[in-house]
Amino acid sequence: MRYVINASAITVFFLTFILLNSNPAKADSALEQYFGGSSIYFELSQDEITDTDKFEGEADLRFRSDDLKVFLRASNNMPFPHQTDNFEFQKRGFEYDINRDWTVYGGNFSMIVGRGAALHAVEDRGVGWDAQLDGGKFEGEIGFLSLTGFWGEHKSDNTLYYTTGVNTPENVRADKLYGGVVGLDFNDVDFRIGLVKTDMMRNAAQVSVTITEADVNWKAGDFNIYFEGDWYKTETQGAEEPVEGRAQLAEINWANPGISISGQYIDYENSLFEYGTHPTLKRTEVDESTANPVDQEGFRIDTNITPGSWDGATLRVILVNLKADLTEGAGHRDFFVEYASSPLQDYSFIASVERIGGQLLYYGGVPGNEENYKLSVDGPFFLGGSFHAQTRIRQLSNDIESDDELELGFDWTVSPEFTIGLFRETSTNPIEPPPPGLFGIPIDSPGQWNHMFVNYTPDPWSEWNLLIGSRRGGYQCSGGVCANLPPFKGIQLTYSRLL
Amino acid sequence: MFKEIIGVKTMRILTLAMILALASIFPFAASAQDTDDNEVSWDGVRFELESLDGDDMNEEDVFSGADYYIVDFWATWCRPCSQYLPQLESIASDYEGSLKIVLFSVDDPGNISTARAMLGGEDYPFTILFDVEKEIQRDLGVARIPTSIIFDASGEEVWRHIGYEHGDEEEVRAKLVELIGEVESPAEEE
Repeated sequence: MRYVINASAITVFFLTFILLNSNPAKADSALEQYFGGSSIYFELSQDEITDTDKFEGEADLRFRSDDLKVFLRASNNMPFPHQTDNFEFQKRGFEYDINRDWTVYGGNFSMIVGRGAALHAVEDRGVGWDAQLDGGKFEGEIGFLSLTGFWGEHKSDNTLYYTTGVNTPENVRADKLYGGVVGLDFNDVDFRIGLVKTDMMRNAAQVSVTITEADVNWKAGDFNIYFEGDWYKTETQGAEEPVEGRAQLAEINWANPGISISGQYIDYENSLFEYGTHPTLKRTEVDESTANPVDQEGFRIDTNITPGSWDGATLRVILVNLKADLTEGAGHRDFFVEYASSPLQDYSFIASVERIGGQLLYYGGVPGNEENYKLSVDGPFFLGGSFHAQTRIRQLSNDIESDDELELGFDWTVSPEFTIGLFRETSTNPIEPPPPGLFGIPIDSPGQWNHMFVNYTPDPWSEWNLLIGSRRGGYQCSGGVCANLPPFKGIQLTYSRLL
Repeated sequence: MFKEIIGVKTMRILTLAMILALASIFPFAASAQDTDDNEVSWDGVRFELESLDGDDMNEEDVFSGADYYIVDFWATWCRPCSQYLPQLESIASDYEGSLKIVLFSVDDPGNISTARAMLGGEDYPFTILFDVEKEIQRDLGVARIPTSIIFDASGEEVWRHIGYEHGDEEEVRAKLVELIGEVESPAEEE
């Protein structure tokens, strides 16, 4: 087995393992009061997909006392292009409450303007997104007036930017972002006006983006109504005229016991912004869920029916209609119906039917029709375990080959601390086959992913996990937990401990 | 910036030292069986977040009036999270008066409308808040969802459970019996 491991990292790993499993003395309660939320994490893995052997360690230290919170993360886990070195302080910062109404932030901080199309500077490790800024922010309230101001830097995560041969993480200048939001908060109506300005260097040219945002949120009885408008102006050094764009979105929600209806409308035109995430009308867990900020308009109607007499069973009906204004196209229509049985029964199932017409986004926008049938079943299994089975059949109307998917998962709770599981996925969708075999032993073939896992939790705050085999990437729910995971094939041992 | 001032090698040594220092603290943070010492004080976690009903709520609004609180993390795309909610509803009903449930949605802000569609008609007896910046998730050390955390009235964490599969609700109930007591049957109440 090949490993490229730093000798000091081995020392850290085993020393920590020994310390954590030694007979501990009775704790000082002040320790948890001030450092609660701190954690450590280790991963030892060999991945045949990326052809990497790695040892990763991460320490997340959090200190809090009354009005002050300080955090510091040291890690050699570098999933983002802007991270340039081993064992650096990836995150550090503080949050200080001046009083109940005013807070200042320094170091790394998150900032969202509107629903995210104007600015979505957050860290979401589950999906591998980190646009947090490094600088400062203040936010506060004076009566019904709210004020937020921020300024910060961030190195681009656009991987194409780093593969041109010209730009490297070392010589790239950090992007600068600053702006603010003014809000008026009344009982049932809130107004916001925001301004975001960005200075960037792209391919040796200076690029400035200015975004003006305005939104209103109105609560009226059983209705909740939201409107937002964003206006973009992008000026590139050397270009004759700036590029102007806009994004508009509206949401109407109505709910009563047993039924809720939601309507959404979007209209995006030339509103691409690296630090923004445009709300999408597609369901998040499907492959083509990303919105197109350059040219997309459409609506979505979402109905959830769950009468009290159904004991938690739910009927969901979703209609999506998308089109492109600036380019010709047949549009995209998606009609989705899902029934989930009552989870209060021993065995539960979810069945769905989906019909897609017009441009097939998953297949690059080619015209056609698509039907998806999906069924998943969960329930108890012998030896105190549980099982999960899911199958999806996809049928296409044109020359693209149809594909079917099957997912099977079994796990056994051997004891309250010890769980083992098996997971298998298959797909007839033509894909690039992964490298054959695991340590030279063939365990799967193209279109198949098989893995087993062993999970040991000696207490609610520490966890060992061993995974052997192959895992398909994407949103996955396995062993009762969900995450957006990268594809993997090999062996992976992780340990996490929360203070 | 630190790298330029201090040097790469020194940075690595400092980082290693920090990890070792942190690791040396953990053994004194209680044995595996002694949950009283593994605590995340709620007092240090402050927030003001939009609720499902559209109101802004802070921790003082939410954490009052109960002996224990279950904090759960949920997302629209997480099937086990949704399967868990009717179980939590049943638990909330059984322990009404002594237990409150607070649900944090960790969806992106663009999914708030979908979350309202999925939760609005359910009429769950929970307080539901949108943690769009995922700050509460980070402050409480939640890496995967669903994760349920039980806090006592003083804001001290007493237990947590990661994930949900059929039967996990019995573990939650067993812990609540230990903390609060048995649920009275209707015959006993009469």
